Amino acid sequence: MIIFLSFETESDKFKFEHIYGKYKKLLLFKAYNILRDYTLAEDAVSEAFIRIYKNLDKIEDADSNKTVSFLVTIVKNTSLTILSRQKTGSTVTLEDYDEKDDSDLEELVLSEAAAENILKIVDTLKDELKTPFLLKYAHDLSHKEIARILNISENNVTVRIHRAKKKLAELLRKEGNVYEI
Amino acid sequence: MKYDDKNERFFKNIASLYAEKEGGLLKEELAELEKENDIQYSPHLDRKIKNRILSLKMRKLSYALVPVAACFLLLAVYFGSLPANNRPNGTPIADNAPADSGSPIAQATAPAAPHSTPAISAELLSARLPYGYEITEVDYDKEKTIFHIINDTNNEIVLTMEEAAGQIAKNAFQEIVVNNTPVYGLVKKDYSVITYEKDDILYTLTSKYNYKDLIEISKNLI
Repeated sequence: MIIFLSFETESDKFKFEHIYGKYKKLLLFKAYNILRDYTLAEDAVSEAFIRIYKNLDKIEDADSNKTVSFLVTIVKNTSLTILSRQKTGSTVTLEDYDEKDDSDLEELVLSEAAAENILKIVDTLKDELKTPFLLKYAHDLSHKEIARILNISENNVTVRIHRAKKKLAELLRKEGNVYEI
Repeated sequence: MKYDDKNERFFKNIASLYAEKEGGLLKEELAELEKENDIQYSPHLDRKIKNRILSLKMRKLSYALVPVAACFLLLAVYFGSLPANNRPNGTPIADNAPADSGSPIAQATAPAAPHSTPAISAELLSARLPYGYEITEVDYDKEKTIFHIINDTNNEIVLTMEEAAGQIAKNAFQEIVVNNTPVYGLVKKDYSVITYEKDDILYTLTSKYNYKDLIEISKNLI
């Protein structure tokens, strides 16, 4: 029973508090940018931090760039979920939001297949494909874990990752056929 | 697109590079935000997240206690079904036999208290709390009433009241006496618990920070 009671280590507690204190402002900013409402932004951040708390073991270094990217990915997802719930009666979907996002990113794509260019190509992916792709390949999460974080089915995760890879392969081939995928 | 280790490594590399780069840009953005300081957020956000995490922990603790409670229930059912020599006219022990208060088994089979949900209103409880403490929220979970209490140093305490099911599982607890009532306390690195039984109600007080707050409250309630 004592083991059951000790369900959180001191380092976990410190890690979470450190992440919360350091990145709360940034996550609120990102959520507000999507939702344009402070109350909804707080709800999105609150939900994001609960998901982060449940997946604390996935975060190795709380100060790394990868961790920041991971945190923002989660809050963007919770914000977009709230946004899609808010837009009742309209046909606005996450894809529609991503299309608006894409139009700002297209100009960043260059013609040469350099590493920088590849990153920009990744950036052109729609969020609904990019997010599960990054969670799997950059943060080493399983499909099941991704499904839990994004609140979608495992099957959906598999399909989206497959589409992301296919889209990336297509875009990379267009850029110069350097990578055989 | 065929599955290939080389492809998987390629995707892993570009995804990692992307996350690294994005993280770097976000850190720069954060540094700018720190300078501008124009993000508004209310203290409710901190409290909301703390409460949700505390609820998650309490739920885990409850899940851990369920098997213990189940064991006691099984023992109660088992011993209650045993034929007893001093059972008058074949009626069940639970009816009239006085409990031998020294024996845990007797306590487990003692006549059940009249079935009642702990019914104390937030207003009544609030009036009994020490000065500086207030109730922020009340939750109900089956037979439990859960009060979320905060004090003027922003320490949050959770008080759970439920019908006492039997002997308190006090193996890891330290016994102290508050207002002539035995109270069982436990202090861990990241939370403290006090539990006691009074008038067939089981009180459990939990706090993240300050064990003394729990003692303070229990002194007023007992």
